[in-house]
Amino acid sequence: MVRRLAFMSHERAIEYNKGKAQSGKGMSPVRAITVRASLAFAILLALVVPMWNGGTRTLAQSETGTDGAKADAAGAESAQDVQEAVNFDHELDGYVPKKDHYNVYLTYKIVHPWWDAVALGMEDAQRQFLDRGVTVTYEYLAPEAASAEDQKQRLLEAAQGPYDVIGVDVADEEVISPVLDELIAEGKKVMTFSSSDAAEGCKRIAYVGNTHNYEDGAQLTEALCKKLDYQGKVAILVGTKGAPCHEDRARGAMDTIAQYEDMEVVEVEYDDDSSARAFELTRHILDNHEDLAGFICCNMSNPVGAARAVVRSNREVVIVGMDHDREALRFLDEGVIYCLGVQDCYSIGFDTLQTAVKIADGVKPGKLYSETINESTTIIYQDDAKLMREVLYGDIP
Amino acid sequence: MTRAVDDKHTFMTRIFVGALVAMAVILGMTLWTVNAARTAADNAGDKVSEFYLEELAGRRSQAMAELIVTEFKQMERAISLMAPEDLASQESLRTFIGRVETLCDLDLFAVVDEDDVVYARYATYMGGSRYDFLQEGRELTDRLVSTTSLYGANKQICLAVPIADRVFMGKNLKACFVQVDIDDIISTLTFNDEDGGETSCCIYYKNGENLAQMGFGPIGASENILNALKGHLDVNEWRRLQENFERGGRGEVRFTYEGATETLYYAPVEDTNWMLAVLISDSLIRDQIRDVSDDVLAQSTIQIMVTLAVLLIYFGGLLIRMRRISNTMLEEEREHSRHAGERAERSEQELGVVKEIAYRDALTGVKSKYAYTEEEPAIEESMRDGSIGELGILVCDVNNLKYVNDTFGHSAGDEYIRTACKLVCDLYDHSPVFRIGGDEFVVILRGEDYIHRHEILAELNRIVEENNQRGEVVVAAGMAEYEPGDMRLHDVFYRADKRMYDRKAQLKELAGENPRTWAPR
Repeated sequence: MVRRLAFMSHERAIEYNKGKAQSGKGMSPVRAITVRASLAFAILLALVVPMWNGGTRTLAQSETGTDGAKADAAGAESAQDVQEAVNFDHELDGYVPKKDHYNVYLTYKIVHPWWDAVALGMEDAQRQFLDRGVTVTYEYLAPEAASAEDQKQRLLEAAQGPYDVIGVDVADEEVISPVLDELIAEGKKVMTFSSSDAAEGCKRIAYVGNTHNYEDGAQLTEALCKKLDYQGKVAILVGTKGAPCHEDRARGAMDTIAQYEDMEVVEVEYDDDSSARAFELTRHILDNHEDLAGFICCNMSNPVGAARAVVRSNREVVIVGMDHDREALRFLDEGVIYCLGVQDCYSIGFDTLQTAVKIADGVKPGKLYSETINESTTIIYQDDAKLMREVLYGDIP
Repeated sequence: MTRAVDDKHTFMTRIFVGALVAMAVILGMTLWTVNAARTAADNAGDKVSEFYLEELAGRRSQAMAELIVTEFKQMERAISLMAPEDLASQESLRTFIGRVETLCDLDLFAVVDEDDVVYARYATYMGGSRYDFLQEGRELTDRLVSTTSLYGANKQICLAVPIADRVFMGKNLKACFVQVDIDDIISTLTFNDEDGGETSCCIYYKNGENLAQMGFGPIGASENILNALKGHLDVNEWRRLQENFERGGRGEVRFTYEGATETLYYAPVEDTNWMLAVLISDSLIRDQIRDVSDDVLAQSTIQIMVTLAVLLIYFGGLLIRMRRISNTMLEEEREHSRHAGERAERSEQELGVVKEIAYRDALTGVKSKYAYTEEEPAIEESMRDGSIGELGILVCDVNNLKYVNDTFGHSAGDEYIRTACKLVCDLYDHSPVFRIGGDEFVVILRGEDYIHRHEILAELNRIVEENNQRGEVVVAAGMAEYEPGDMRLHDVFYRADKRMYDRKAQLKELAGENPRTWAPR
């Protein structure tokens, strides 16, 4: 069901053209050569491009209005990276599960489309297990509003349930990490996943997700600073207070700003992963700082709210932010948002379920999986927006 | 002869030109027939296309609507069969859901509780951020058709029905739904022919937005069909298309996109705000019909061409044959003429021989009496027209021939005549001598002999008189000249003959009563 939309639409276009060529006038030699060359090139790329092993990638930046040659070159370079920013082509490794049925409990910070994207990777893994005769059932639940206490409660309830593995995207490492240690002590198999790991020293078995949130924040901020020529006032929007991924990105942002004398962080606000809240916060910040030059947005909802507010204010403010929200990508395409850090949610979901099965079987981190499975973040710019929108949503207007 | 050849050449030219005209007419009619047949095939293709498209779109639209209705009915039936024990635990609910999916052949069937928690066969997850029909503030009171666009996945159709009076784990179940991949549906509706041609099918919202991620013929997957066709249709035609989409009407529109002519037929899908569109390249049906008609036409053309070729070869052969016959006849005529000439020449030669024989006296070798009669008209003609000039006639008669024949035999008589003839010929060696009777000779005097006629006659007479004395050959001669007023040669002859008789009598007198006569030696 899940597929790489851009490639599929291209293949359909080729099929359509091939069909037309065969039914009627036939495909011209030049066209045939071009199509074959394109396919050969695509296959070659698929073979030679090495697997990305995590970390933050920054695509070649080409600003609108820069000279055409530079922009074209950047577009050509980044097209492949944009395609690979999210890897939809996963296949289970050769590990043979010990049981034919597993039950997993997974909880995350808040009901939000970002985790729906993670869920799709899980569903793919579940189908592949099923194809191998292994049934994996799981619960993947979250509160409507981010709450460490709610998450703690869910974990404690899950500990009483018939689950082989409990996984959590940590809402607040200070609150959740001790809970996880308790569960481990009780003999439960616990893992963390998604965007936030537990605090250092936590005994959780493994983490699958973004391990470079600080770097993501720093790199997005560096892009902003460069855009602003290393001067001006900026505000930082964060998601949930205590959420490690958000806090780490915010720290990365602040540390980067601190490097430049002519730059200043004037506000830091938390939107609790609500774009509506981000919108309101942004409006206030813009009202309070008429000379504000930029926003650094540390989660998925931040850039959406910020962009809406900036558009409404009709001010020129540079926005950098995280993730793949459809509306945010549209703002990126329109130039309202300067750049976005897109995480490979699909891979996070797929690897989470695959790792959970190994953990359930009592396999310790080592040869079969790492204790920390890192997934990539790719920073994309306006030139990449259309392709990313097509890759993720197939909706280039 | 030349006229006859010209006629044959004209005749053959006419045959050749006629054959060419006939073949040109056949060829022209053939081409006209081919074009007419092709136009008819195209028209037939258009009509078949229209009918085919309308039928295709109608059936697919109906199939789509029936699919939706069927799914709804299946869900409602499934919920009605949901027993309390199915809701006893997470596991029992999953078992129930799995049973429904299997029985109804569904990709995804799930129930939703009041907190928007989705219970599927293998997973329990939050649906609030994932499904439009679970968006905050939206209440499900009846069957609902919606779509959901998943990150990186095809758009899905969500068909949801409300659930009442069902409680699971202390929470009310509020809905169940099935999730169907739009592209999978469209793939089943799309018709691929054996040649790889495709009749594209797609579903659009009434605002023209594509529900699927599949391209629609030349129109990209992400393109709004109304926007995509805006530049390819007449303004009024495009407005009509837009209005039909908005109000859910049926219609058909033909357009050219990237060089290919396409026909789009659209129809609403019942109970939805979707439009089902079917697209067929004009060339698909038309080409197939044209292929068939072209095959037939090609065969007919080959037949006609072969016929023309055979006719051409036949007429060519006929022409060549006729030319050969004509040449042969011409050659024969020439040969015949040549033979006739030769025969005429030979006849003339034979005639000459005959004439020579007739003109020449066999005994003496001088001209015959026949030659004299042949000569006579020409001389008389010149007498009449006054061009005769000088002419004399000498008439000679050999004396004693009867005596010689009777005494010594005819052989001796022949010799006697030859001797007499020689005597005359020796003297008149410039004039023709004719033997006009057994013992009579005539000499026609002209030129030198005429000028010296008297001297020669005198010599002749002297010799004869001597011979008369010695018993040699004796010839009596009389001479006369042409005189004005003579109309015939005979007039001159008559006078000469009379003088010859006079001389004959004279010679007898000179011989006396016992003359000495010639005797063979």
